[in-house]
Amino acid sequence: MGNLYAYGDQVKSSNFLPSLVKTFTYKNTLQCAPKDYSTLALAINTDMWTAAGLTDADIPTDWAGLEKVAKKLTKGKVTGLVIGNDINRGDVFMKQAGGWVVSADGKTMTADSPQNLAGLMEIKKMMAAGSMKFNTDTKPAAGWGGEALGKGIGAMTIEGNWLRGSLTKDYPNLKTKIVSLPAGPAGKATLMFSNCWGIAAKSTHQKQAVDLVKFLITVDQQLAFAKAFGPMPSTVEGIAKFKALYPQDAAFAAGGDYGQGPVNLPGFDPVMSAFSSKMATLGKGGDAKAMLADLQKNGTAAIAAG
Amino acid sequence: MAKRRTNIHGREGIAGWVFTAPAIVILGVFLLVPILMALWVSMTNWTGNVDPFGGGPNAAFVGAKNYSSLFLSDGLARSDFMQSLGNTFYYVLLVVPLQTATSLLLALIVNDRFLKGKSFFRTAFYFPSVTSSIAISTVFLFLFSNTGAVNGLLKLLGIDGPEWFSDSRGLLHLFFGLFGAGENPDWAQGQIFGRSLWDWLSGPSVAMCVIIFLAVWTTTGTFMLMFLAALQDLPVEVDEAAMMDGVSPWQKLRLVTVPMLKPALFLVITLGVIGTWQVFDQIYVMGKGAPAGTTMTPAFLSYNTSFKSNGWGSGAAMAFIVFLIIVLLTGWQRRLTLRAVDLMHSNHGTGPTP
Repeated sequence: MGNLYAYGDQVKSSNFLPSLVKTFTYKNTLQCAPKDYSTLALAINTDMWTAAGLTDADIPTDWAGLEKVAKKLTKGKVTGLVIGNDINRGDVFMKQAGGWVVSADGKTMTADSPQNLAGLMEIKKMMAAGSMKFNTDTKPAAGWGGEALGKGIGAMTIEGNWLRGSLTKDYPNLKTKIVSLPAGPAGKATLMFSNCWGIAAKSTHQKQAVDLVKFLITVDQQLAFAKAFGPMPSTVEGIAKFKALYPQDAAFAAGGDYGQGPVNLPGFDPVMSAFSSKMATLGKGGDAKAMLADLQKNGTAAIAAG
Repeated sequence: MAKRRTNIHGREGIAGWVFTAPAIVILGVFLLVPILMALWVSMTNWTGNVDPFGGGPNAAFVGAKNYSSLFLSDGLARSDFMQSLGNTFYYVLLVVPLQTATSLLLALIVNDRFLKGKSFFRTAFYFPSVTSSIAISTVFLFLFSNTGAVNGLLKLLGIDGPEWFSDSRGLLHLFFGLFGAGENPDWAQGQIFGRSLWDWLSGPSVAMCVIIFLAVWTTTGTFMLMFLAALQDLPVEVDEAAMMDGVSPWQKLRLVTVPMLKPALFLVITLGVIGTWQVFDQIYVMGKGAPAGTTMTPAFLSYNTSFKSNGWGSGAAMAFIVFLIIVLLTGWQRRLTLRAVDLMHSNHGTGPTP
């Protein structure tokens, strides 16, 4: 909204992933160069997995499969699946059920749909069964899904690429496996998180800044970032090399083909955080239909204002 | 003669202005001007990246729109603000009486002439007040965590403690639930400022109760000190006279000590009301409004709207509304207390002027 310099046209030739280009395009202009991206996948504690008598054949491919393994993995103080208590994890179920918060062109709200409700009801169903919990509802509570997995509070979690670095650093002895998220009734879906290199609209050195960005989005630089922090290269060429270098993270990389970016319309920050805050009550009798209706109402107002 | 007098008075006037000038300049620069600037911002749509007084599309004057949208237009700004007002209302309603009563009790205890180790207890009771509120909030996060000390203690008593910080259920809702009122009963469907009566009647959430407990615990020390100072100023003769008249300790407290403490009581309640309506740092540390917005307060919402969403105009408008609420409540409470003091004086015939 006037804070950033829209230099996207000068870096378009780098051949970014189409889904990332879409995320950072506003009013038909690519605003900036996507820095990198991460997607959500299912991380499994393999020791608990084998102890529960599960094999590779049991890796869930749909919600029914997920329910089954989560139930088997829930034992004593261990919860089958522990996820973060906000929209950045919960929304993936809405997407898998074929719904989403806004229409593809970002002009109308589609929050109050039966698909979205089905997604949230799946979370409620698994929470009622005790096989899924939010990180804040476990005993002891975990700071995030990765901590729950690392400390053995949860046998599975849904997290992104950043999980890898944290697990090696904080829980080096933990054996994990990362697989694609199970598909919902409407097929495979995941969420995609990304950043882009911003250049201040008021900067007097925009040309130099663009040159720096051009250097930072070269394949070598992006692979160096991937090695150091875990996020994946934003260019088609970079991600191909990433896949070859890190086969164990194939599930993360695959998400780039069908991942859904966050809702980043103007004025949506408070709307999404209000929804996020309500979503955290799903395990405690939160009314899924009412929270979607509120999201629909507030989002419609934000689109009208923005 | 008359001419000379005016001259003298003229010079006195100048001297007066000269002597008060430093105070006026300081108050003006650091208090009055910033308030006026904030008032202006509350009537613009300033986005934070241009000069707020320069006009233009990012700092345009919008009149009272920021205020009216908080009360009249159906949207997130109003529903968030109304929820934060509701939360804080219950917060103030519980914290102010509790902290006043507790601090008075503590002051009476440490003022007892027969208490041993007085200075130890005074220090102990005052200790929470001198510790940083951020540090105490962090300690409370551990105490009330799902497997924290509090739930551990409850477990010894055979109670399965709640998940304090993720429990958004309101206390009054839980209470109504005991009498069979289910989710959202029909009688509570009326809307007040876009929020259903049922939501207004939720009471503080379980998570908010932790913050209420924390606030009472940290503030009683300071207020105890104020009561203690007032208690030590009370004439001993009155106490002795009351004892000679054969009053019970409870009667002495109710009819002799507390009436004489009215000025201190007014001070404590006023500071309590002001402090509780402005609660911010505990909220910032303990969940930032989570769960489900039930620990959101106007002060924190104002910060969030301004600094996170760049809605500086709306954020400033919220701050002014809270300012107005505090001024009205304090004025109302001052009238109540003064009337009570006047009544007392007329009963006793004489007394110090307030």
